Amino acid sequence: MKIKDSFSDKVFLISVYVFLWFCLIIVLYPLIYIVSASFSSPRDVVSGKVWLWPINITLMGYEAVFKHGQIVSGFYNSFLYTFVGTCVNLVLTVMAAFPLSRKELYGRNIIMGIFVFTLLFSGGLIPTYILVNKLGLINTRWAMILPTAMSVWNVLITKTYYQTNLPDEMYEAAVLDGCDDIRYLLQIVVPLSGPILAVMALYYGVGHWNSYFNAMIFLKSSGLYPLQLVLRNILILNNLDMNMIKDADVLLRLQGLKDLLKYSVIVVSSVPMLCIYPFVQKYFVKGVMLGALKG
Amino acid sequence: MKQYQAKISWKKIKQHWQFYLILLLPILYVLVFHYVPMWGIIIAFKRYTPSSGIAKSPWVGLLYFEQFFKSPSSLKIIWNTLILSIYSIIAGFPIPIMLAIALNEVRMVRFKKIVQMVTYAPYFISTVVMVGLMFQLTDPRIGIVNQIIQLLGGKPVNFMGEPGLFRHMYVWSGIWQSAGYSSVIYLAALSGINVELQEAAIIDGASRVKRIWYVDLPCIKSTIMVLLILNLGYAMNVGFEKVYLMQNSLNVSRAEIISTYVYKVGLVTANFSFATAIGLFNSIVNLVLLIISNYVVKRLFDTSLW
Amino acid sequence: MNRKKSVLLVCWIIIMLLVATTVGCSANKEASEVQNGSQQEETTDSKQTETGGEQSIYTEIGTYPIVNEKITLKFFAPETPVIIDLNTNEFTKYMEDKTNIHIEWETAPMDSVNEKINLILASGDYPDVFFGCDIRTDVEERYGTQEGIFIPLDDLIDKYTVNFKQILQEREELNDVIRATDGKIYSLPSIQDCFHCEYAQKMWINKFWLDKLGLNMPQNTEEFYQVLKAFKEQDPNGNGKQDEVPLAGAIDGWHQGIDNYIMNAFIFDSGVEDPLRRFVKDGKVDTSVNKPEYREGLKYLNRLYKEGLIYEGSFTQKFDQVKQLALNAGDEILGAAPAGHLAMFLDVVTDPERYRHFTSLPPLEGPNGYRVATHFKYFAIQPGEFAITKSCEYPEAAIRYADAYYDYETQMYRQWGKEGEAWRKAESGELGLDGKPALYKVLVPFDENAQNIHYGWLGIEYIPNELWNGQNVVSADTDLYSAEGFEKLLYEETKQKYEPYKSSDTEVVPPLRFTREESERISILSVELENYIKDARVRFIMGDMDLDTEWESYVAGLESIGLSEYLDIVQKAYDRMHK
Repeated sequence: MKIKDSFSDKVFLISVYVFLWFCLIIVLYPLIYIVSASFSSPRDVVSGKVWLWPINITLMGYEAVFKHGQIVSGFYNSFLYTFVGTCVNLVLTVMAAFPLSRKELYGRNIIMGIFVFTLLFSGGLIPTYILVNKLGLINTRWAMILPTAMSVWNVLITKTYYQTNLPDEMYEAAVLDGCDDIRYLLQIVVPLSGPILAVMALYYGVGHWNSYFNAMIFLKSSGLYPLQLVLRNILILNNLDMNMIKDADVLLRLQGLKDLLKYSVIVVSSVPMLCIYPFVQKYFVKGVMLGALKG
Repeated sequence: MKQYQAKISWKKIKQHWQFYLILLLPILYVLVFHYVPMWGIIIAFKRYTPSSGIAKSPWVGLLYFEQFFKSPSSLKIIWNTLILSIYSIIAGFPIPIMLAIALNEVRMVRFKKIVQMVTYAPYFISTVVMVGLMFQLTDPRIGIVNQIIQLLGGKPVNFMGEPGLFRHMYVWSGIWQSAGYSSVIYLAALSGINVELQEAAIIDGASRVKRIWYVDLPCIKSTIMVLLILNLGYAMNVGFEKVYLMQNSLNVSRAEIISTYVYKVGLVTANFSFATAIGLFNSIVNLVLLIISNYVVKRLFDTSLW
Repeated sequence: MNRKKSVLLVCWIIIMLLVATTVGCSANKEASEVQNGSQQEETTDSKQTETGGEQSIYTEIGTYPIVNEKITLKFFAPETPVIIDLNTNEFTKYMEDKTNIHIEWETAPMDSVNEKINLILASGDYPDVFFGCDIRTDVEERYGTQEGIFIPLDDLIDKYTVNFKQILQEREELNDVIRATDGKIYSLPSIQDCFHCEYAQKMWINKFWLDKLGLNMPQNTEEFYQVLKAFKEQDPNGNGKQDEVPLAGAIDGWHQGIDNYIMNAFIFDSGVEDPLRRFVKDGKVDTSVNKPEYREGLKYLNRLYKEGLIYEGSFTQKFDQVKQLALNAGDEILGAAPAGHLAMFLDVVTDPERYRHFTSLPPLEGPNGYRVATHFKYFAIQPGEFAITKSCEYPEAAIRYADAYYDYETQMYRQWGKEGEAWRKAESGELGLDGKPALYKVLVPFDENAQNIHYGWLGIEYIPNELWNGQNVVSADTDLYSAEGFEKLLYEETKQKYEPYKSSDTEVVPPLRFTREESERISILSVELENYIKDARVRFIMGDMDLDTEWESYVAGLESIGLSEYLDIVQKAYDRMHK
């Protein structure tokens, strides 16, 4: 059946398009600027000549990034931590969210309280470090995965999704059919979790990809560093000053590089996450739920 | 009476024993990595020295809380923190939702995907570059924003310098950066809406606007409310880096927030106890905000975190 | 059947995760066992030598190698962008060959070093030495004086070092800077003299414009005002538009604050890096921000601001923006700018023409005849470069290893690389920066890309004036305004225009050491005072606050925040040092 738009609908649709085009342009311009600046000579960027397109195109910024000894291991480690970390995250999140979404869970409020309390209160850096140290995880890859194995914030969102989109009738019908909870989880909930798992995979994935603080604190060997930490080491140039390096000439050379690296680093570090997004996008398609109910 | 109630509970537990099995691993994680280190909060009440360890460091009670609250600017910086936060939430909360709904209405798949991708990208810009970009684009002399203003006949504005504009610059740049990324969850929620409901509404003759108001929004109401409550529960945790980079002598009365203050104090001497005490204070305020907002949302919209 | 399968599946997932965790743990255990193993070797070695009789592993003091049998020391150091890998770096090998001490490196990203130190010391896993970490004085106070994790070095220095012992006697100001509140030394410093840095509070002026407008270099504040006015009104760039920016500063950069240089014409100004503007006169610590002379200085700045002579953005912009003003595409628009050196806002490579236009301005004379150049006496000394922890089993080896750094040739290797490849001894006829015969000539200039030949700026630096001047070979006819002539330019400007005005009776406050109670109190006070003073200063200059009517309440405000208490604590710390 073709859905015809009334006049008010057409007006509305036009304003929607105007809004979206506005968002698009307002976001696109600075992004183009960043990419252009990463390909321009640093002098032109600093003097303000670059405003849209690159001037004096150069690959110096990217050379400096890729020349760095740890860039390859940085990428490798980041992919590893992101992939394994996200898998662990998704498993734990679903395992927490599903029972919490069912009102049949006795003691639900108490268990919720246990989780939510940790959102608000935390012991701080030193006790956490001491714990991780005692567990023998310092300077291991597991230090990148276990301490952040689950985010209560995401659990709550997932739980809400289940509560909204998995009707009680479905559960009750399954129980009547003799299906037990674990089987319900694995055979019904998980397959229907497409959209929310896609979002969680994205949010967790990006969280892993962008993180550097835990690596900075828990890792010692640079061979284990994720990409963000490697890039941060390059960008430390932003913080150098005459008090640290008393040789003005040295400092100037380093600062010249910093002006260039600022932008190329962003491009390099964000490209993988941008490429992943289309794969995740296809899960946000209308009507995903349709088949489930009828089935 | 009590015995009777106790019997029911064990029965219920046995009935869904598998739930508890499934919850085992998440609870284990939370216990180990969050509750075990949590005892470190007592550092806030002790004069901590690493060689004594946490257990043997001497008690000082509320000393650090006193120090903080007695300092002249403590109220001001708490206020600054809250204002930035609440402003960010009130202004920034609707936008990802609007974006998601707008995208949901559009049928041109290519356009939709491009807008999604582009608006999602700014999230990855580092804070340092973000602030640098803000300086660049709003420069009174050569920044493009002021050039447009001048073309339209106005006078250039020193956006980053004007203390009155600090909060607006902070909040709206934050929205610019994260709206697209945050809209993803709403897109997913919208895609989970039962299409039959939509079709029924169309048959009933509802216009697009009516459909959004009566079908889309109610269906994602829970998601919206949960995110709202969670955001309010993090209100005191305004990040330090961006504000610090935007601070200058003129706007310091508005731009000094808890995290920048603690950082500066820590530059002179790193005082874990002081920082922990303030962190604890933040957490308590957050808790209060969380409870209040949960209650309000429950009354108004019948959704709750619990 | 299905039920069993489901349960099995869940159990399997849980088991898998647990196994993975255990595997991860045991892998780490293996790694730490290997480390422990090597440590055990180390202790067996020392045990062997000990039980083998009185035969010490150490060689004669002041000679190399330091030990007869190779030992291993654990060093913690920051990662710097210019070094690829400390383990394979050639300078590491050079030092190992020279001293026979093998270093096991543990590193952390440069900007997390302070945090890492706290964590490492909290967890109890100490390295032997903290190397090149620029350990903050309050950290040293905590872990040295209070907790005894860093060991006092005085005896070690006295008994086992040759170079540093002598330097300690020669340079008295070291005692001011490197001794803790209990008078002991807990870490060794870097010393890098930088003559022009000691007078870094400079003003640079567009001489090209002065000449064009037929003006002389201003000598006092009144003439400076006239010059800035002329810059603004007489169109020195000749384009018919009043687009000139007479004076522009920034809130960051190096000594680019708009008020400091000018304030020196009214009262001693301790520089933009001392937000509370403290100074020492006749042994008494005080601040300039509540004095009538400071008020006069603010009035003068206010006058400049009112007439549009100070660029509006100077109070909020970063130094990148000053650079944009100076390198403005199109006509030249910048008249003057304060900066530690002119390359902070100009660039000899992209615009050598404009670079030549600027020269430095000697300190101005104020209406009361006050004319002073602030001497940053302690700039050269960076404490906290080498600290030995109590878990080090070979403190004599460690201190002698450090001592090796206080030697010119070692420094040349450390900065540049191998003799003959990266540098060589100077030949006769080659002159240094100060016109005296040079000591060394650098063959391969500094490359900002990561390398593995030298340490760059990492580690103990010992570059006193003699070495600094002696390694910068400058021929007599070098163009001061070329890239090669940069250091010479700064040297000359400083020598001729600033050193003569060095203040004789007032000095900057040395870096001070506070006890724990003092520093807890002072940390909050200084943040409060700093915010208040900065805010007031800018508002006075901009006219937002009136210098006639609101000055009294401003001074009263300082007191109510706790200025007196602050100064008392600082005085106490200062006196303690100068007992």
